[in-house]
Amino acid sequence: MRVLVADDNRDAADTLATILRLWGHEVRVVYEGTSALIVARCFRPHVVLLDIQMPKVNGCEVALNLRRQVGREQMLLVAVSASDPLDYRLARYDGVFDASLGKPCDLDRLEELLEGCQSHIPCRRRQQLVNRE
Amino acid sequence: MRGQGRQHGLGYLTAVVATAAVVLIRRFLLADILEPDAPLYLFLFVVTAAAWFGGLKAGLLATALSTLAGTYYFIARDGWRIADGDGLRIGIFVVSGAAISCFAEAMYRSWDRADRQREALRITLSSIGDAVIATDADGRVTSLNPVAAALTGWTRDEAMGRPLEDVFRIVNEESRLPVENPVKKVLAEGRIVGLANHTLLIAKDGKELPIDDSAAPIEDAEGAIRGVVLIFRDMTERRRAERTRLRLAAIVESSDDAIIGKDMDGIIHSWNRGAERLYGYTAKEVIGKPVSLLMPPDHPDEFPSIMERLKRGERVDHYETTRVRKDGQRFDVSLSISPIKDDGGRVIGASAIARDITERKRLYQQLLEADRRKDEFLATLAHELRNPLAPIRNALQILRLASDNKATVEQVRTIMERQLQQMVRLIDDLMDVSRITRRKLQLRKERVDLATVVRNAVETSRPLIETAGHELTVTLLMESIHVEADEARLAQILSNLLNNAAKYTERGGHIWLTVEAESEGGQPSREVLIRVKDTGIGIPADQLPHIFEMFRQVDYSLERSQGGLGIGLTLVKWLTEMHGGTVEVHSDGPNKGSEFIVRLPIVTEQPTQQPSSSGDGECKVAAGPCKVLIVEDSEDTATSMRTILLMMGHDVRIAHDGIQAVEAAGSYLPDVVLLDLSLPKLSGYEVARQIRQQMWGKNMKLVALTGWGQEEDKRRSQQAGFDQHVTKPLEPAALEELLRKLCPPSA
Repeated sequence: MRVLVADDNRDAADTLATILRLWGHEVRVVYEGTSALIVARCFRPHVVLLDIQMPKVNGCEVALNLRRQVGREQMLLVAVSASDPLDYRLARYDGVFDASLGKPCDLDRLEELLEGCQSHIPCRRRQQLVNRE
Repeated sequence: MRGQGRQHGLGYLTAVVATAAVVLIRRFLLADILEPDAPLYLFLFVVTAAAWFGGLKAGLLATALSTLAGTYYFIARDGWRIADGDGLRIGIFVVSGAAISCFAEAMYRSWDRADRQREALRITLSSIGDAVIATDADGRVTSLNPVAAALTGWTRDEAMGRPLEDVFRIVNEESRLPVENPVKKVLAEGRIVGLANHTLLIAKDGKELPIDDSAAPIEDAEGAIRGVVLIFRDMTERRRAERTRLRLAAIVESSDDAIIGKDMDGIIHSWNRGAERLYGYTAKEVIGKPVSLLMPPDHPDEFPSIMERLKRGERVDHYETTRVRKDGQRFDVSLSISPIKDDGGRVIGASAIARDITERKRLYQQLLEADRRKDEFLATLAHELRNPLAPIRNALQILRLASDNKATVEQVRTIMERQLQQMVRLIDDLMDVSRITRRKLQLRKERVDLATVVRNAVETSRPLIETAGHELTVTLLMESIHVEADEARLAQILSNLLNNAAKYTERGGHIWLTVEAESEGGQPSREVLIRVKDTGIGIPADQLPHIFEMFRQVDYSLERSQGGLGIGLTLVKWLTEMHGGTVEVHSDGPNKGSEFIVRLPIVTEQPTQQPSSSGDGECKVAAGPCKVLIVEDSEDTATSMRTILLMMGHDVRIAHDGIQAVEAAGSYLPDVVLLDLSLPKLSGYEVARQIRQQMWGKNMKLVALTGWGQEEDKRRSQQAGFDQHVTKPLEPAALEELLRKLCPPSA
C-alpha cells in the first residue's frame, strides 16, 4: 500500500516511515501541510497519517482538502496527534478522519488499521492499480 | 373637721336631740329666766349645731323641728292658734335657720374641693416619672415625691424642712466641683433655670448618678416668689444610649463601605464618609437629593424594583450593579439594602451599604484567566511530553524489526538521543519553574566573563538555530565585561532567548545577539545590554505586556509547530531579575520581528584575587578501575549503569534493596556505592547511616542518586553521610566525571 506520513516533527515522521517501510509499504514523508497536499496529488496514497498540529496548514485543513480531491472509499485518513483526541474533533472537522491515533501511536492498532484498509480497497481502484503497474 | 366628710347621721341626730333638749330646758329650767318675748332664739343653736355636723339637710331638718316645737310649746296657745305678731317671729327664725344651713353647706363644699385638689396634686407628684422637690422661699424642702426620694436616698419625712443643699447635692461630672444650687439661682433671678450638662447627683449613701434637671419659681397671685420647684431625672440610661449612638455613628462614619440612608421616595438623608469617597459627592451635596443621581441612566427599572422589594419589607442582599461617580465614571458595586421600619413595623426608609467591587471583579477575572492558562498549560504539557515519545517508541520498534541493519540502528539511536534530550530539557524547565515559584532556586553567583557565557549559550542553541536554517550574528564588545552571575543560569537566559527567536522565526531567518555597554557621559557604564533580535513572526501589541507571564504563548493556534511549554520567557524574566537585571521586549507587530533586551549590572572593580584556575584540570585523566556497588531497585536502570561502568573498566556489583545493599557493602567492600534513595525495605538514607556505622564503611564513597535535586534533599543526604548527591538520570559523561573525582587513578 502507499502510505503518506505528514508530521512536522521530523524524527517522529522519519521513524514512523521507517517502520512502515519495514512492514513493506511504500511510504512518502512530508513535514508540513501544504507539501502533503502536493505530494498526495501525484503519490495517490491509500492511507494518509496526518499530524494535527502542523505549522501553516494544520492536519485538519489538509484532511478537508484531501477529501475534496479524493473520495472516501479511495483513501483512509488517519489523524495522529499528541493532543487529547477530543480537542481537534471540532464540529467542522467531524467525520473528516476515518480514524485517529494518539501520539506516540499504538503500532499494533496502526497495523490493524492498515490491514483493514488493505482488504477494503475497492476492486475497481485495485484494478486500476494493477493496470497501471 | 378638716379632711373629713359631712356626717349626715350625726347632723340629723343633733337636730332631733338638741331640739328636744332645748324644749325641755326652756320649759322647765329657764322658763322664768328667759323673757317670753323671744321664744325661738335658743333654737338657733340647735340649727347651727346640726348644720355644723350635717350640712344643709341636717340644718334644714333642725330648722323645721325647732320651728314646730318652738311654735307648739312656746308660741301657740290652745293647740295651734297663733297670735298675729308671732307669725313674723316664726318667719324670721325659719329664714335665719335656712341661711345658717346654706352657709354651712357652702363651707363644706369648698373644703371638699380643696381636698380633692390637694389629693390630685399628691397623686400626680408621686406618680410622675421625674423626681420633684419643692422648697419654700428660704430653700427648705417642703415636698419630695417618691422618685426624688429614691434618687436622693432621702425619705420624705427626713427631707422635710431641711435646706435643699443637704438633700440635693450636685457636682460637675468632670471637674468634681459643686455646682451652684439651682434653687438659689431661681430665688435670685426669679426665672426658670436649667442645669448645665454633665451634672452628677450624689445620693445620701454616696452613690453618684448623672442627672438632668430644671428649677422653676413658684409664684403666688401677686407674683411674689413663694418657693421653688425642682424637677430632675436619672440620665444613666440616656447617657448609655447616647454613648451607644455615638459609637454606632462613629462606626458608620469610619466604615470603608458607603452607608447611605434614604426615605421611601428615594431621597438621601444620610451619607457617610465612605460614601463620599466612593461616589465623590460630599454629604452636603447629596442630602435631600434623589438616589437616582447615583444610578446610571440606562438602568431605569432598577430603582422601582428595589423600592418594591423594600416596601414588602424584604432585604436586597449583595446585589451587584453599576453606579456612577460624581465625575461620571462608572464602577461596579455590591449593594445590600435593608428596610428601616418604625415602631409600628411600617417601612419608612432604607439603608444601603455599597462596596466597590471593581478591584474584586478585576482580580476574579485575573484568577479565571490564570486558571484557564494553567489548564491550557497542563494540556500543552501533556502534548509536549508525548511529542518526543512518539519517535522514541517508533525507534524501539525499528530496533526490534531491523536490529541487524547497522546504519538504521545508528540513525535511530541518534533520534532517540535527540528526543530524550528534548524531554529532559522540558522537565528541567518544569523543575526550574517549580523551584523559582517556591523560592527554592539558589544562584551560585561569581564573577564571570560575559563573553564566555555568550559563547556557551550560543553553543547550546546552535543545533536548533542551524536546523531551522537561520543565520546568527553575534557581536561582542572589544573589552571584556564581567558580571556577577551564576554562569549556567545566565547562559540559560541567553539560550532561552536564542531558542525563542529560532522557534518563532520562519525558516531561513536572521538572528542577532549583540552585547552593548551604555556609557553615560564618559563615565564607565554600569550596565550591559544584551539584545537578541530576530526577523520572526513578531508579537501583536496587545500581547506585549503579557509575554513574560507564565504559560503565555503568542497564540497562532494550530499554526505553531514548536509548541514548548510557554515558560521559557518566564524563566528568562525571573532569572534576570534574580541577577539584579531587567528584561524588556519590543516588537513592531506581527511579522515585524521582535527584540529582547536583557540589562545586567556590570562588576567594575577588579577582583581582589584571581580565580584560582586549576591549570592541570584540563588534562582529563580517566578514573582508575574501582569497585562500584550499584544499589537500585529498577532492574533496567541498574543493568544499563552496570554496562556503562563495565565499559569504563570498573568492577561492578548490584544490589536491589536496602538490606542487600548493606550486606553487599560489607562483603564486597566497594570503593564507591551508587545508592538510590527510594529503595524497598530500607531507605537509602538508612543504608548510608548503617554503612557509616561500620569500621569498613568510614571511608567508602557514598553517592545519593535521586530524582529530587532540591537543596533541602541535598542537605538531608549530606546529614545521612553521603559524599555526593546527584540527580537521575545520570548521563554517562557525568558518571565518568563523578568516578574520576571519587576514585582518582592510583599513582
